[in-house]
Amino acid sequence: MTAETGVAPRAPSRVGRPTDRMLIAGAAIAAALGEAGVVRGHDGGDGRYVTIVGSERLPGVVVVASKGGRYSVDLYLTAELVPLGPLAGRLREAVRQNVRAIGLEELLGPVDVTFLAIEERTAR
Amino acid sequence: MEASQETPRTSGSTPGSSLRTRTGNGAPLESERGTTRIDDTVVTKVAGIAAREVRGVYDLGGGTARALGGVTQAVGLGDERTQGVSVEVGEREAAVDLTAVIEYGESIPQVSEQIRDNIVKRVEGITGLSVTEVNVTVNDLHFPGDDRPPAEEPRVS
Repeated sequence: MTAETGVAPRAPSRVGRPTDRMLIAGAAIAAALGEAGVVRGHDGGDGRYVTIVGSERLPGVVVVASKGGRYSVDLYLTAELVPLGPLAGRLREAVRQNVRAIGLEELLGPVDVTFLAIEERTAR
Repeated sequence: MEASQETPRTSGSTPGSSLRTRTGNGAPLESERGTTRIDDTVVTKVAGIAAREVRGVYDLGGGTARALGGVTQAVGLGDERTQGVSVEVGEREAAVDLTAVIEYGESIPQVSEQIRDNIVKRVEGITGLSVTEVNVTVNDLHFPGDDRPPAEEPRVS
């Protein structure tokens, strides 16, 4: 509190700035889309699985606060016809690396991966 | 039983069947770093694709499903790869029910067994789920001439 006013100084406004949750969501879905075998993020059909970051829409990722001050990441994906268990393992590692790169690794909780659809890719 | 004569159903759920002893590819679906979930539609699609890969399978689904499927696919709503396939998926296991049309001249037991083997191989390989049973119902035969449009009779001689 300040001596003159008796009012606590306000923290810098975060309006317009991406929050840690948004930053983690962006890093997570970018990591997922960069992984071979992932076709796209899946919005759940009705936009259930979308994170909005400013004017940007990130389908296929939902980040929620969980215990211990961490954020859990849920990825919802359309994948190619590849072994999905190993792909999920690679995705977790890629998400962790991307989140580490933005300095938020200590906030990262579990990364859950749900494959909602599959697409065949025909060889060209 | 008349119905079973018309639509042969070959079951893969017989006790002691080799299907029961098979396991998935060992990929962990749950770990301390997160959980992996696979939607039923993914398993359905993989099973449908696997069944269509088998020689002697003409189409999947019953007559109504195929007729409706043709309409829904034409307007971009349906997916022929899931037609005629239903699955029950648990945490680690899946069971598949399938209705198929077989090419006339192919051995139904052999084609059914190949369908079963390929579905087990594909579903286990891609999803890591253990396939406990694959039940195949053959509801029609396809004859080579079925697709040809009927020859038009000349209207004048």
